[in-house]
Amino acid sequence: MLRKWDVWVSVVLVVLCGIVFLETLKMPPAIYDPIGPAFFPRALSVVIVGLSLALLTQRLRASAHQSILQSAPADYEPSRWLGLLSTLLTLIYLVGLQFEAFHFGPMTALYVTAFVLLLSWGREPRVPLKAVTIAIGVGIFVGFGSEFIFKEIFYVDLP
Amino acid sequence: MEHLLTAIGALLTPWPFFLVVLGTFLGITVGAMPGLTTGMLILLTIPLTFTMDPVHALILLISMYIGGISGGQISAVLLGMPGTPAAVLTTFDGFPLARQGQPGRALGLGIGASFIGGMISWLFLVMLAKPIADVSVYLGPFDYFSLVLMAMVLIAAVSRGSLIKGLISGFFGMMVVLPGIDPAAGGLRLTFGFHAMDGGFKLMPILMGVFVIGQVLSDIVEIRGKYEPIVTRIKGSIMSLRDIKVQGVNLVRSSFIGTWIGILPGIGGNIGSIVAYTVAKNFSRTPEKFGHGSEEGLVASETANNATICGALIPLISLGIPGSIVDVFLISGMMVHNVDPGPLLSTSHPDIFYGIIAAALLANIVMFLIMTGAVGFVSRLMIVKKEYILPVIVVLSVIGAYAEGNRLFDVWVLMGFGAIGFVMHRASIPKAPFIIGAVLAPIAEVKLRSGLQISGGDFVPLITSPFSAVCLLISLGFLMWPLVGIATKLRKNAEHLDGR
Repeated sequence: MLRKWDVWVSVVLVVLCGIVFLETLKMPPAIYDPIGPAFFPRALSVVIVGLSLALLTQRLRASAHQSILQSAPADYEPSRWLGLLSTLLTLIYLVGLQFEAFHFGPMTALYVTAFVLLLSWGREPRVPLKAVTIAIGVGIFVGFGSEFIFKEIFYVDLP
Repeated sequence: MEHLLTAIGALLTPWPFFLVVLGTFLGITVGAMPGLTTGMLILLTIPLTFTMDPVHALILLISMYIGGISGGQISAVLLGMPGTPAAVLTTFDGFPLARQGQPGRALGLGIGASFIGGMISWLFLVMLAKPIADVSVYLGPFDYFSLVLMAMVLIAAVSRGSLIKGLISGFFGMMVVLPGIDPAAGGLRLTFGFHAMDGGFKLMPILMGVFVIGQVLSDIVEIRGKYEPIVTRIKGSIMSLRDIKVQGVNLVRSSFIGTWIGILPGIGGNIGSIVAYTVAKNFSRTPEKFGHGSEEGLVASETANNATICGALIPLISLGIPGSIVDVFLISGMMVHNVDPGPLLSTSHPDIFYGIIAAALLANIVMFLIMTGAVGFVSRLMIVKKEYILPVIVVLSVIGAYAEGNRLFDVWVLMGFGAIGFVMHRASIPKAPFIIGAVLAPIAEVKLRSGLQISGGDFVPLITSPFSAVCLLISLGFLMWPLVGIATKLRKNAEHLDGR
């Protein structure tokens, strides 16, 4: 599993650095100093590509036996679907903030309530009524409480 | 000395003293909770300090730092899970000692060791910070560039995982802060035509994304993992004078190790405690006890990890180079308040320079008092369920990312780097080099380009300047070290085959 992550990371970095390198070719030449604005990003992209290819080579040559040893199972099953749902919920929240669907306080209260319920459900399929009550309480406190605290006490602007 | 006494006096007034106590208590509480880190607390607090006086803001953040590093031992001893990375070694002996029916003794020793380690390294901070700051103004741009490069290589070499991954992380961190305004010439670069990118990626969303959101995502995926607290009642035990006498050599040695490891740029508490623990085991008359409830091991680990705090503050306030990961967050806190953490800090902002030193002293004393008196109360907070805390952390991060520039673009950047932080966690790519790279990249580029302007494009002064040459040699040494290990292994294999 670790090997798969390493391969993907290496490939993505090579592509990303390739894009950066091509972009540096469009930059103006050095005027105020001998190397100019393109030197650093160009040098970094070359170094990162080199290191990524070294990592890719290392991982592709690693034996199946080594990869089994590296991915020792934990004593519980990681919950990928919970991570995906949490990410989706957060994206909905941010899109709501972006397009000002609701005011910050109520939007955040709804988000936190839904998030706490989702995580409680993720830990145990049957969510007790007590947990639902706590989720609503936490949501209201965080949503409206943070709006009051940050705006009125700390004078921090909110989305 | 006069400035320092003035700063200490200023901290003993009601509001600053309250900030020290509050910061230390919050640091201890968060440090004690597995899954939450001191860095997270500091990053989430920085937006709250926007309207505060810079000195007061930094006092609060430093107090959180000291409280957090010390608080990690509570869950390490009682749960067998380190609350902070610096407390990993404390788990090895603190948890077994607690299981043997002595949780109070374990915590008492740890708290005393933390206090003594902090005080000894504070003395080094007082003795060395100003002289180093005075000397550092004579460092040239090439010297600074080489120092930054050395910090990058050091942190990559000692981070967990392979050296290649550490270097990838560090250089990638340097790359992500390049878009926006060219720091040396002032023009725009790498914006890809997006006007929102004209200001580049701000440091706060990057730091919060990688460290906070990335950690939250990892915690969500692993939320089914359970831990059982070993005890709920603790009888406190203070480190006695007899304990100090018995552990005296260990305390002083571990303090020295922690302080000097802390001074090395980029390396923090966990490395200090590893080295001190290993040395203590080598010098111990009962090395077989290490890992099974050795008081020497526990004392070495806790002394060193607190000693690294003031050690790490030395390069921060005298050179503007972070001595540890948490120092990177302190730098971002300074930048938010328009304070330049460079070598001129002691002359341009002496109130901040000496305020940090005074805060480190006071927070260490307050930490000892709070930990001794309130460890039972704090230990009950450790088992708050993650499903209630994680959503709150996300909301605070969103507010923090938005607050600095009042742009939702920064919130999207936060989430993007959160995804990057999660991928780094799953791929075992260390995050520390990434963060150090992101903070030091602008310094490195500006220094290199201004050095080349002065030398007329000549790179030779990089090698001919003694300080620069030493830094480059150290960097090369750390880069070559893994090859030495591989060569030794190959030679031994060849000898083994010949022996057959």
